[in-house]
Amino acid sequence: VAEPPHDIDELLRPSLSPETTGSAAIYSPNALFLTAFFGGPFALIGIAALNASRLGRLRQDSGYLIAGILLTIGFVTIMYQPGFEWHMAGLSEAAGARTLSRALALLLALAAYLLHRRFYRSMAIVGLDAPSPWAAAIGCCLLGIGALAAAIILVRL
Amino acid sequence: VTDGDSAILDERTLVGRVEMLLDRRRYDQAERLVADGLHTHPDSVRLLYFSAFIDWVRDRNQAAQSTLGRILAQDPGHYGAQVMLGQIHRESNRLADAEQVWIALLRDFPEDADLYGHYGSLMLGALNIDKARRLAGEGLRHDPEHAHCLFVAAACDLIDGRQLGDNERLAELLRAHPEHIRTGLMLVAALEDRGQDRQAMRVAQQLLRSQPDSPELVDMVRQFRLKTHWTMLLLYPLQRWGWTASVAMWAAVVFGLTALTPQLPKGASGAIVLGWLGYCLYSWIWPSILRRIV
Repeated sequence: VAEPPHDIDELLRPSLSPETTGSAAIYSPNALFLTAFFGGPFALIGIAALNASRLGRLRQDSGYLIAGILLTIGFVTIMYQPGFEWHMAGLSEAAGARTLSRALALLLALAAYLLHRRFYRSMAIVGLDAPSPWAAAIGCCLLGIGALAAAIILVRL
Repeated sequence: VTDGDSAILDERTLVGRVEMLLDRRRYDQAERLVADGLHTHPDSVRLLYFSAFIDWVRDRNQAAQSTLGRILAQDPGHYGAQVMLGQIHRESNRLADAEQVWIALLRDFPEDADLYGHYGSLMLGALNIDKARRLAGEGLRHDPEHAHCLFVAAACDLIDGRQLGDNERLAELLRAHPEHIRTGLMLVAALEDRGQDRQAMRVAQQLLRSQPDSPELVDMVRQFRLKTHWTMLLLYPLQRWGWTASVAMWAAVVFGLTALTPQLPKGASGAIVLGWLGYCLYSWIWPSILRRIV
């Protein structure tokens, strides 16, 4: 197969930062889904941002991350405003908000997986193991739960 | 060759003998000869290079890097020393340092397909697939049948979903370099990607027969034995479709359960959740237990 010539200067421009050590492997989809399940949407956005950072794509993915944050804020604003008619959906306020928050987080986890699907496939073919997710996942869960609580308090003020 | 002989050998003869021993992978003898030779010729770049090479193949990367530093201090443009340094940086997970080495070398040798192969392979490991593909493509422009560049290009095509039947680079690799270890490794990856684990294991076993001292190949065959073990049958969807299956199962359980809970008998949704969590635990814990058993 004939190859067209590439711009050699562009090709030889460094693409790894000096801090890059270890592999660029990212947290597994299982880690994403568990973080979303237990930590909620902000926690998921946190671990997705860590994945983007490990891939050196934080700037490229920032639009998606900001969209996720805005979507979550919109969700909290609508669902937690005083007087929202939960009984219309046949749910109590606590159960309805918890279920919908978890569903949103899992949908965001699915979106984060799809966003980085090519890299997950690369890891499988190149044979890279996903890093241990415990510290990142627990940290994101704690921050995510705190951020969600703060957002709910602000909406209810 | 006895150890004492090296004292009276001139450098050229010594280098010839060491090369012969290295060709035959007689590293112990070569190492003794090089060590003795370096007493007589302490600044011999060739002997220092062999010393670094032996340390590198013996996984003594720090010693190898220190020797390479001595070589490059004497001869900053030494090609072999720079290539070995790039590989050591990569093996030691100093990816940015490895990239600097390949870039510097490619600026000096812009038509060297070997270097494009090394740099492309580094980018593949750093998950920069587009750059890996372009580097392999540039290498193939200079040498259309270069094994390492074909390997990187075939891996990139495989990542983007071009499987055995329609992966031209892989076909070219199989045609031009059927004997090459990289060809076998890529074939194993392609078969595994198609879910043909038993066939992949057979290819891996063949590779191991040709290189029985390779710990990577031993590990690969072991991994396939684990994957094809009968107790892993329950995990077939996860093995076949990987994380896509994991995502689909999570979505099916969480959303399916949310939708169906009102229609299910009392306690059924709890049992399903427990069953699902049990399956998750099985998928996380059992493979590592099996790894210790098999």
